[in-house]
Amino acid sequence: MRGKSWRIAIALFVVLLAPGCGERPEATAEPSPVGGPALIRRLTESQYRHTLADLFGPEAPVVARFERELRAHGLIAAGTSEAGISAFAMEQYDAAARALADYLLAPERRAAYLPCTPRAEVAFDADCAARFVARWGERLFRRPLTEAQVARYVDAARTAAATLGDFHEGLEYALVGLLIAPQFLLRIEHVEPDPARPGGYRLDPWSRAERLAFFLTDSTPDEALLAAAASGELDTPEGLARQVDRLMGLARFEDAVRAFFRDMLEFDRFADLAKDAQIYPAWTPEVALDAQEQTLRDLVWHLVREGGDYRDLFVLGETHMTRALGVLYRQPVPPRQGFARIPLSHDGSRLGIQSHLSFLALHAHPGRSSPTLRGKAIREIFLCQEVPDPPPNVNFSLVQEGPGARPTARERLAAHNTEPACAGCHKVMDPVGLALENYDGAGIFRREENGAPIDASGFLDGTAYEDAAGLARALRDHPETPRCLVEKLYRFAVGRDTVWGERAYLDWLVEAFARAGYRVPELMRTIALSEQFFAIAPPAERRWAARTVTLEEDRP
Amino acid sequence: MSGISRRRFLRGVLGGTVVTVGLPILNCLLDDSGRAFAATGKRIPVRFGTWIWGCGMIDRLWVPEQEGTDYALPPHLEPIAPYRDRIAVLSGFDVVLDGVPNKPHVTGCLGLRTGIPTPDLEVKAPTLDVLVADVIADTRFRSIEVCSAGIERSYSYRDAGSPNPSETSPLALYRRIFGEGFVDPNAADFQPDPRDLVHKSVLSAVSEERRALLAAVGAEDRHRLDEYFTALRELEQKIALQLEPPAPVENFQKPEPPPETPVDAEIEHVLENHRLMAQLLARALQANQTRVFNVLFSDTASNLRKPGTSSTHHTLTHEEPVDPELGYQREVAWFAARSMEAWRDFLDALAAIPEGDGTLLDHCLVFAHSDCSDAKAHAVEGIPMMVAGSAGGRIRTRLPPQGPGRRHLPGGAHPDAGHGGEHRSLGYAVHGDQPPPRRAARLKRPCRVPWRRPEGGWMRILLVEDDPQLGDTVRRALAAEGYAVDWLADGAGLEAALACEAVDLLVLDVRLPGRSGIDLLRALRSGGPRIAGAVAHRLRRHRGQGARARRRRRRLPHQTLRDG
Repeated sequence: MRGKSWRIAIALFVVLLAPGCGERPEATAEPSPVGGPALIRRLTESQYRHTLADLFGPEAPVVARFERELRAHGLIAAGTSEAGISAFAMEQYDAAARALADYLLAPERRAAYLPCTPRAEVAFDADCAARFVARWGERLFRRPLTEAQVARYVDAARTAAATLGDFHEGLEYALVGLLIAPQFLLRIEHVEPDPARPGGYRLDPWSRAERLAFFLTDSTPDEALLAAAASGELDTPEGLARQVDRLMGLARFEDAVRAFFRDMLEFDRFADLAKDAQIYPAWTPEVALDAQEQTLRDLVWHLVREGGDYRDLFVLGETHMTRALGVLYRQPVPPRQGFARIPLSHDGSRLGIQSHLSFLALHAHPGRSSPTLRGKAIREIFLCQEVPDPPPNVNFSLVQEGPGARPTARERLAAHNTEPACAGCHKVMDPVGLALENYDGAGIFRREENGAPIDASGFLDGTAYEDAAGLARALRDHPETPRCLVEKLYRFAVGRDTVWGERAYLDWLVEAFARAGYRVPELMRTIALSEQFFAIAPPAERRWAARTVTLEEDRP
Repeated sequence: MSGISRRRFLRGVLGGTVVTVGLPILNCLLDDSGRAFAATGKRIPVRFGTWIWGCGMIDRLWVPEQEGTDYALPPHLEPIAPYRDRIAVLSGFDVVLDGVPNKPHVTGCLGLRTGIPTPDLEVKAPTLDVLVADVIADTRFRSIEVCSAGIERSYSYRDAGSPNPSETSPLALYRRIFGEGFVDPNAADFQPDPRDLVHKSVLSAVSEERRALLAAVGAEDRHRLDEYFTALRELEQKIALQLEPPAPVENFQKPEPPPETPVDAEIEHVLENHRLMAQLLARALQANQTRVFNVLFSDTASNLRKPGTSSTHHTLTHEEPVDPELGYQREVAWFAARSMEAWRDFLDALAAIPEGDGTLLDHCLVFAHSDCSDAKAHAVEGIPMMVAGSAGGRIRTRLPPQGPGRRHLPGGAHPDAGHGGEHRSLGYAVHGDQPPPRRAARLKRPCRVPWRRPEGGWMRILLVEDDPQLGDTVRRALAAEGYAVDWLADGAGLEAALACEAVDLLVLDVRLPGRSGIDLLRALRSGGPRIAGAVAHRLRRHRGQGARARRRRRRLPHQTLRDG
C-alpha cells in the first residue's frame, strides 16, 4: 500500500522517541497566565454515566433519557458552562437517582456500599448514616461535605427512615438527594488566591482535581486524586505532574480522548440523522452506530496506542470495520462479529477520517450528498474557520441543487460561484465539498452521478488537488489544522470559548504541539500541567464607560 | 378602539420597537370571567399551547381574500372548515426585525415567540409558552413538548441555555405521562404513597442548599443556579400533587399505550405520529397532567419528505421551479397542504374530548404559527398565524367583522404604513367569524405586569439610544450580563413602552434627536413614580474597534477568499 511503510516508520520513530519526550526542556516558557472565569459546568451525559459506573460499578443502572446537549462555540464541552437544567432534565435525573439508590441499597447489595453496619435494622443509627453521607457525598460532590451538609442529608435520612420504618430506606433517600444535588450535577468551581501570583487567583485544590479528572478521564476524580487534593500534593508542580501521568495511564484516558473527538466531530447529531430507506437501503441504525465506533476506534488506535501524528488522521489508509460497514465501503470484512483492522479501500483512494461514513453521511441530506454541507463541516470542524449563514433574501432559484437537467452537483452548484451574493462563502465551501462528491449521501463510493463522470478536483486555501485523496493530503498539510485542534482541545478542557488575551498562550501551545510531533496525548499533558489551565482572572472589568448623570431631584 | 389593542398586541408579539409579549392573551387567560363549570363543580381550567409548522404557506392558497366574518376559505384552509367559527386566521402581520439579521427559519419563529428577534438561537427572553406556564401551570408537568418529525428540539425556551426538549415517539410520550407516577383521577381508592412524601422532603432538603450556593457565585452563575432550583421546585410541586387525591375528571379513561412506530421525517410516519401524539396530549390535558404544550409538527426548516425522494420540504422551497400554469411550486404546496391537514388533525383530537358543555378545544387557546411566510425568500413579513379555541370563553376568535387592518399586500405598502416606527408593518387582516367583543374596554387596556421573574433573575432594562451601532453594542453587552434589554431608537415610543412594560431600569441617552434625555426623564418623572431607576448617560463610539472585533470573529483567512 502506498505510503504505508513510511507511516509505520514514523510511528516507530515517535514511539521510540516517546519516553524521552516529556522530560525534554521546553523551548519557550509558558506565557504568564491570564486566567479565565470560574465556571459552573453541567455534567455531560458521558461524564454522568462514567461517574456512576466508576463509583458504583459498571452494572449500576442509569435509567434516564438525556436531552440533546447544548453546543456552543463548536463544542458541547463549551456549552456545558452555558447549559441550564430544564424541567425535563430534572425529571430524568430524579428518575435515575431513585432507580440507582433503590438498586444499590437492595438487601443483597447494600453491604458493599455501607461504610458501617447499623446497630439495628429499624432504629435510626445517626452515626452510621453520617458516615454513609460523608463518604458518598465526598465522592459525588467531588469535595468533602461541610458539617451542615452532612447534617442536612442525615436529617433527610432520619425523616425518611421514620416514615418508612426502615433505616436502609432512609439512607436510600439521602442518596437520592445527593444524586440530584446541584453540587453533583453541576461542576461549581471554587477559587482561591494564587500564592505564586500576588493579586491573582486560581482554582482551589478540589476544583483543580475536578478539572483534571474530567479532562483526562471524562469522569469524576478517583480516590487517589481526591487524596492528592486534600494533602496538598496538587499544589506542587511535581505532585501535579505525578497525578497527571497517573490519570493518563488509566483506561479512562481513552474515554477522554473519545469524548473529545465525539464532541468535535459532532456525533451527537447522529440522534437526528435519517437516511431514505429506498435510496440507501444499506444504511441501517446498526451502520450508524458502527460508523461512529469505527472513527473513534481509529482515533484511539492512532493517537493513543500508536502515538501517531494528529495530522496523519486525514491520510490514514487503514481502519476498523464491521461486516455491516463493509457493505457500504465495498470491502470484505473477515470476522463475522466485531471490528477488524483492514484497509479503508482496495485501491488506496479513500484516505483519512474525513472519508469515513461518520463524516460523509452526517454532512449530507437524507436522500443525496451535499458538497456545501461537507465543505462547511471541513472548514468549521477541522480548520476552525467560521462560515457565516446565508443572507436571508437569497434568490435560490439560481441554484438548481435538486436533481434536474444537470447531472452532477458541480454543474448544479455553478450559480454559487457566479452569483456575487453566494460566491463569497460558497467559494470557500463548495470546492472542498466537491472533492468528496465521489461519495454519495450515505458515503458509498461512486464514479458517476446520473450517468456523468464526477470531477472531484478543487483547491483548499491555495493547494490544488485532483481527488479526495488530494484533499486529504491538503488537509493534513494545512497550517490551520494543528492550530484548530489545539484551540478546540483547550476549549474542551476549560469548558468555554477562548478569549483574546489567551492568544499568546495558544500560540505557545501550538508550538509545543508541533515540537511534540503533533501527538495529542502530549498536548493534553501540556495543557493539564500549564498554569493557565487553573488560573482564574480577576472579576471582569467593564468594557465601556458610562457617565452617570444624577438629576437634582435624586440628590438627597 | 380594538384596533389599538390589536396593533399593540402585534407590535408586542412581533416587534422590536415596543415589546409587550402578547399580553392581551395573558390578560384574557388571567381574567376570571370563565363560565364553564364541569359537572364536578370544579371550574374547568384553561390550557395554552402552541403548534408550529415549518416553511410557511403559499400566499394565494392560504391567505383569505376577505376580512371579517364571512371570508371564503382558501384551498389550504379548507381542512379547518369545521372549526372556522373557533379559529382566527391572522395574515399580513410582520416580524419587525429592527435591523437584526434574519437567520433563516429561526429569527421569525423565535422573534414571534419571545418578542425580541435575534440572529441565532440565543433567545433574549423566555418564549411565550414558558411565561404562560409560569402563571397557569400548577399541574404535574409544567409543559409538554412534542415533535412529530423526529427532531428532539422545541422552540420553547426559559433561557438560551435551557431549551425544553421534545418527545418524538408516541410510546415514549405515553410512558412519560401515563407511566410511573400517573394517578388516575377517577381511581376510587386513592392512597398517598408514603415514599412520595419522603421523596418530597428530600427534595426540600436539597433546595436548602440554595442560599449558600447563591452567595458564593457571581451574577451570571446565580441566574443559572436559579434555573436549577426552579426546575427542582417544579419537581417538588409535581410530587406534592401526587400526594393529594386528584380531582375527578368527567369522561376520562386512561388511554391504551400506542404502538411502537417509526420515528423519522417521512410524511406518512409524521402524520401518524402526530395523530397519536395529539390524542395522547389531549388526554393528558383532560386529566390535568399539564396545562401548557408545544407541538412542533415539522421543524421550521421543514424536514418533511416523501419516501424515495432526495429532497425535503425545505430544500424543495429553494430548488423547485415555480409551475408556470399554477403560479407556485407544486411540491412545496403539497407539503404546505399536508401541514394544514395535520393542524386539522390536532384540532380534531382536542375537539373529540367532551368537557363541561363544550369540548376540550373550547377550554384551550392554541397559537399556531410558522417561521416565515414565503419560505423561498425566508420572508418574515406576512408570517402566518392562527388562534384556535376560546380559552373557556375568555377570548374570542371573534374579532371585529371589519378590522382597521388591510389585506396583506405582497410587496406593496399599507396605506397606514410609513409614519414612523410605530406603523411599520405592511398592513394586516384578521379573518374571524365572531361578533365584536362585548368587553372591548378590557381588551383595550394595553398590558399588565407580564410575568413572575425568577427570584434574583434577570432585570428588564429599557435602553433609549439613537446611534444604531452603539445601541446594538450596549444592548448586546447588557444582554450578555444577563439582563433583558429592550431598545428604542428615540424617545417617541418611550411612553407607550413604559405603559406596557414593567421596566426595572431605564437607560437614556443624554442627546436624543430633538430632545434631551434629561428633559425626557423629567417629563416622565412628573407623570408619576413609575420608574424605579433611570440612568442618563453619554456614550461615545470608538471608531475602528468594532471593525477589528468583527474581523477577529470571522476567522476566515483573507487569502482563502482571494483564492476563490
